[in-house]
Amino acid sequence: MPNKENQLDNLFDAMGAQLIAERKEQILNAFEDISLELAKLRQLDLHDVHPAVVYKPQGIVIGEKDDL
Amino acid sequence: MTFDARFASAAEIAAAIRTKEITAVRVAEDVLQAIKDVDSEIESFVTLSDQTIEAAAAADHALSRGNILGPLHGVPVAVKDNYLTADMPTHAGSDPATFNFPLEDSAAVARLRAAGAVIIGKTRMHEFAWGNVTPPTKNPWGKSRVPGGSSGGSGAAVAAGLVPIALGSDTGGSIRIPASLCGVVGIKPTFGRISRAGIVPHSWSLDHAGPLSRSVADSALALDVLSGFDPADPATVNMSKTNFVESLDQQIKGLRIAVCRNYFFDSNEAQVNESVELAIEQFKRAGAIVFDVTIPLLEFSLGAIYAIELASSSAYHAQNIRKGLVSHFTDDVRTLVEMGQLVSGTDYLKAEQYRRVLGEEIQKIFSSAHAILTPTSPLTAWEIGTWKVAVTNEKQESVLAASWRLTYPWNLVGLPAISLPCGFNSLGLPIGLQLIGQPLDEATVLRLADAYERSHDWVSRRPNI
Repeated sequence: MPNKENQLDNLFDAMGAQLIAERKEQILNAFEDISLELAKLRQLDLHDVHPAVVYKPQGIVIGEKDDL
Repeated sequence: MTFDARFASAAEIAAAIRTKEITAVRVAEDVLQAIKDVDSEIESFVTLSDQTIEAAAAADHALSRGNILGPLHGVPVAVKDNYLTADMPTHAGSDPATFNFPLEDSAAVARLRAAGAVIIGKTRMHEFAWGNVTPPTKNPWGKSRVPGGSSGGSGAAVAAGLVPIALGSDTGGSIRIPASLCGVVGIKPTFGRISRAGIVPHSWSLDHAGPLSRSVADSALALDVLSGFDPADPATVNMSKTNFVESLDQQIKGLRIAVCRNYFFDSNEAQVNESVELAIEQFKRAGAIVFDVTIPLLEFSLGAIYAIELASSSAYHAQNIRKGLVSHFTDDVRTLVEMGQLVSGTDYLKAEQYRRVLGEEIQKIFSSAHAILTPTSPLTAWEIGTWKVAVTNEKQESVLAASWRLTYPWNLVGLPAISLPCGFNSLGLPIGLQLIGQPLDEATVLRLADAYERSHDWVSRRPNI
């Protein structure tokens, strides 16, 4: 069985996260409180809500630069 | 009597120059001398322009030919160190030996210069706008205390009377928090009101540009100069030219103010809540209709802002992470930038979904209110070197988590929000009041803030520096 540290390393690799070994513990400790807030956010059922990001195709005229 | 530019408003300085009571060169010389005399104590500036006198002389020359460049003709203005400038290096509060940015004017700086402003220098900021401490800047109201951040240098410089207006940027409260802690006015306008082109990014969908000043009137003046569409910033909106100065000196009878009673009053210093309650009473006396509301969804907001801000910051700094350049960051900022890599795409998009429903919930309040009122910061300026605080003596939390709690929700929804002084605590430290308006309705926010400012004398108080 891979140990917990190896599992975390594999997870970081899979995510493409670049963290040097001696900083991993510090980063994970700092992330602990934030991960609790993210977990709370995940409880919200927002499955039919469009995220607040809209892609505008390039070239659409959306305004003119006013005079400086 | 000789005109004294220190602690004078931008409008007063501009008027004195226009009427030739004083020259722009003399104002610039006085400001540079004041910076020399005072800034060694508070360290609010990181760079001074070597073209200040030349720019002021050009303003005087233009005036001698009958040309008034704009409402800020000859007025000294400072800008945060994340705004690109053609005549000064930009380092975004980071290591000058490692990070350099183009020598060109950001859109906001170009607008200031076109309006006649003399850009005096660059103010210190928390590195890459990621924190609320701004070392080594000190708070003019208590030099052992922080000025807030990340626009801490701008807050301190304005509070110390060195410049009437300084630009800041606000991703989770970085204009309003230093405004609150330094006893000045700071406005984060609607997302899209001011171009961010040429400002070093922190989090693209949360970053806002805006001014700090000693009075609401000067913030209105600056906002009029800075507002406008810019194709270089895809977020800017195409609106007709603003005239926020017209919002001033109005009565507020009949305006409806919603006080959000959950979340915003739960974990604050007692004297912060007391001062804000007194301000609420003042609004009632002035004829405003004040009523309580709640926004239950706010309990999920911290996860949302962290997901977006952390992930965005890591994306912006991806090459700095890959090349190991983050080793030149201060430890607190490096940790946040590296940590953003742990935010999943799912959580990021969940946060973007949350913004939409939070915005809808808040818009329901605006169906019956002209503005929302809250405190700006749960705590007053804390001691330099303190990284954990117990705001209500209940639990320890990081100063970052505590200080931005009441400001970042308005970045998530992009609404205009102003902070202005509403009193001082028993230690003489400023307390801030926050007013939030509907999208693009800075006019009502400024009108309410100006009416409140005229009801007391906080604006005339000066720190002992």
